[in-house]
Amino acid sequence: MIHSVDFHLQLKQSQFRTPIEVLRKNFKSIQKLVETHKSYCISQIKLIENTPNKKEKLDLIDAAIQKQEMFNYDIERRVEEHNKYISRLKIRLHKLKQFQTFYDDHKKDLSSEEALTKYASLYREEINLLLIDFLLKSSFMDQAHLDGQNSGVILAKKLGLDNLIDYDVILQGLEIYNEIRFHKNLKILIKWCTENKKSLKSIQDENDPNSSLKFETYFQSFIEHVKLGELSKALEIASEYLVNFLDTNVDDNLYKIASGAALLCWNRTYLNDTIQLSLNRDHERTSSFYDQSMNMVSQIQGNVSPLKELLEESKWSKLADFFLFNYNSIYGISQKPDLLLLLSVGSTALKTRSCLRSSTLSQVSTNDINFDDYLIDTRNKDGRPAIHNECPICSPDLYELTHDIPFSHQVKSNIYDNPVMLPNGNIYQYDKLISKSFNISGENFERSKLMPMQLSKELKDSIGILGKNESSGLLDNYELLDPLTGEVFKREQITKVFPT
Amino acid sequence: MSSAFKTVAEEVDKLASNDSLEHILADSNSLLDGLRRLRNDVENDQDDMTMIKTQFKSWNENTLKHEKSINKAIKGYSSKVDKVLNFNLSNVYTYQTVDVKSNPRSRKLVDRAIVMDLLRNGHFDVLEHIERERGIKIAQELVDRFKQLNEILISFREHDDLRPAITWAAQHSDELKSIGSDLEFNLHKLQFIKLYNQSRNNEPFEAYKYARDNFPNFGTTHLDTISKLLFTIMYSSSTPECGFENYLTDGDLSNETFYNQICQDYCSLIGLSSNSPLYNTLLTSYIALPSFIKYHRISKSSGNLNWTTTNELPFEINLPPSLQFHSIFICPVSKEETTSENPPMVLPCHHIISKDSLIKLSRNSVANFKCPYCPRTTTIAQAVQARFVNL
Repeated sequence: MIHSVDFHLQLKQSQFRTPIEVLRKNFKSIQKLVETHKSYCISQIKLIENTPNKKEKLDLIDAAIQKQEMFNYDIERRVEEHNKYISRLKIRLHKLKQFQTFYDDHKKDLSSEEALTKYASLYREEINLLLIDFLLKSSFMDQAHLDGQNSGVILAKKLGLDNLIDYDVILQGLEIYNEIRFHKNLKILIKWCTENKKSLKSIQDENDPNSSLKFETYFQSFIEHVKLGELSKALEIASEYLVNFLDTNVDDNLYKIASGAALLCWNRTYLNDTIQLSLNRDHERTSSFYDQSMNMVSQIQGNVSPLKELLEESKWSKLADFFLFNYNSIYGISQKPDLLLLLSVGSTALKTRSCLRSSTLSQVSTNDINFDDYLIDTRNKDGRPAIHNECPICSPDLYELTHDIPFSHQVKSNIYDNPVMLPNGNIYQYDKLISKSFNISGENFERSKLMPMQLSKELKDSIGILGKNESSGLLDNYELLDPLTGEVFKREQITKVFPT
Repeated sequence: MSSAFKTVAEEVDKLASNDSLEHILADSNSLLDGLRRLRNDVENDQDDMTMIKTQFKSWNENTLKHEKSINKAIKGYSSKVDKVLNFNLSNVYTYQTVDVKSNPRSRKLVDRAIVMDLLRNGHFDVLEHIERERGIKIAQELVDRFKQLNEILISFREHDDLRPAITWAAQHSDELKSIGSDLEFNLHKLQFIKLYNQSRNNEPFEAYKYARDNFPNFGTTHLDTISKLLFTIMYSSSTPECGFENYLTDGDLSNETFYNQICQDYCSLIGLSSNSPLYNTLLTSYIALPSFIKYHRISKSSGNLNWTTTNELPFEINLPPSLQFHSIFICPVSKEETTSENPPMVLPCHHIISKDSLIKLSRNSVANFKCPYCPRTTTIAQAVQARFVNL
């Protein structure tokens, strides 16, 4: 699957998975509409038939017509929805066919370098999709702004890529996520669990048979009632729903329910007080190690802290995460934004042991992340722009981010031809050193002494004898500039070196 | 033809050509017509119900049939596509990843890297949204720099107007030269060709005038090209196929190449790498990924391949030269990559080995030793520390 159309297909498989789940759900609701309408029609026709009065009959028929109109309207919307996703599938397939044509045309005779230039626009589009996907999926962390239009959607529409990503489905999941996490809305979650009962079951079987979103949901609802002191409602949930889960995973669920039941004995203020008390006493602990009552307090703390966890706010974000995991699994959406995984893949391939943070950048990594790194004047004192390191890993964009990523494995030297060394130890490619030296026009050295282009060409031809032969005495009059340090050296000072 | 793609393509086509839902809609519409007819009939005192009954019955039967058909199509697609789309990126890349969920700082860094990529591509409108959505403040000075670049590119790409680019290049003539770029000359060349092509059937005076005004500055560097360009003027009208026309339709004068060169040089002059780091890294991932897949497959079948230096990939990835940014020197003696701690050392015979190897060969800097590649003997004191610089 190396560089084939399958490679790309596999990478963007959610493009072909998500729509089918939408279509499936859409079809289910069509089925439901038809079912209800059918039974309505049957009884209505009977009613019309058995009504002798003409006026009443006409009224019944009018009602039936109205109902039929509504039904047809609903069906039409569903068909439109269906066709929308079908056309997305077709467009995506068409995109892949472009890749296929490219690969078929150039299968054998194309180096990866050539492929990159040739397919530049295709790759750019793929990468733009990764950015859009990330902007969409990470937007849940900014719940305050989710109401407005998502920047991922805006970018997708601007670039005409909105048919290649199911942004509506992704955002719908995040909306429910936010409802759970920030608004503690369990109703929406319970409803969603019921709608997706079947799929949830198969996800549960596939991943972890002992974890059930439905159980967690009802359990959370139980805890909430306890928190509010609504004991009878809490017990109602326990006896109606939670007990059912004892069949599937007795140990874990029983433990959970039991610890939840323990909450019934304490109210929240009591728990807070107990823990607060022991925290306040913390500093006394060492001195009063032998104090009996101190031991007791710490024991209570130990016993109570798991209960405290149940009451904590973080329980909501865990539940929300668990929901999102299930949601993404159902729709075939990748759990982690692909951007992050591919960024890691690319970084590790590029990262060498020579990758260094550029010295001009702020060294402290604890400071704020802002854009100052990009505004630093990188010019040398003599006005020449500093030599840039083009490496992405050394850039302010990625240096810190890729700190923990493994290094690439290097087994071959990739040193350029004709390396020459200046007395300061810097080794350059000879041609580049000469042309750079020629082009630089700083104020700090005498230009006329630098080598003119024609001479450098001659020198290029005679590079083989450089350093051995003294016959090219003419060149000795010219000087070379180290582009990195700005130092000027005589021609005779450069030496050809032999990296093997 | 590859198999997964073939399957998916077939299934999409099959599903797309299934028009059952359209039939359901059409049938429902005719049922509505039937009801309206019934009303008409009843109005005219003909209350025969057989017609509507048959119509309902056939609607019911047909709808059921069409439901079955579309249901089957959806199910078929699901099961076949599920089977072939079995690749899981996180199974193949099993190393440390960039994580934003548990690390808010990383998240900000990723956001910033994305912002930089969008800036480079001139998506200022989207960036305004991102600033608001994510509480990021992009330095106005930086935005202004990229807006200037964007204006140059837009007038070039959309209005075929090179003048803003030429003005900018003239202003930064010296800096461009110092980074070894002949963008300024190339822009003049392109402008000359443009003028020439516009007036080719008349007197090519405009182009000639342009050449006289602008080319002399480049005499020392591009004399060869200039004479060829001017030469074409002489031949243009009389002998259209003299061969010199080639100079005017030179391959690397395509708009795309220019566009990229302007972007890259502009970024270099404002102190940034010429290409977007985020873009280049993601591009690399597409080239590197097959190696990960291959390694994953081999290690799965052979079980135990997981030898590796800590924090280093266990296999090599071949990247094209344009994606190699550092000079890698592998010490020919120890086969280790040289680093700033273990730098390359140049021996008096100009052969290069790593410092660690040098110390070993000289038995902790006490002995004379022979260069591993030539007969010359040397001491550690004679070796010079060096570094490879990429220009």
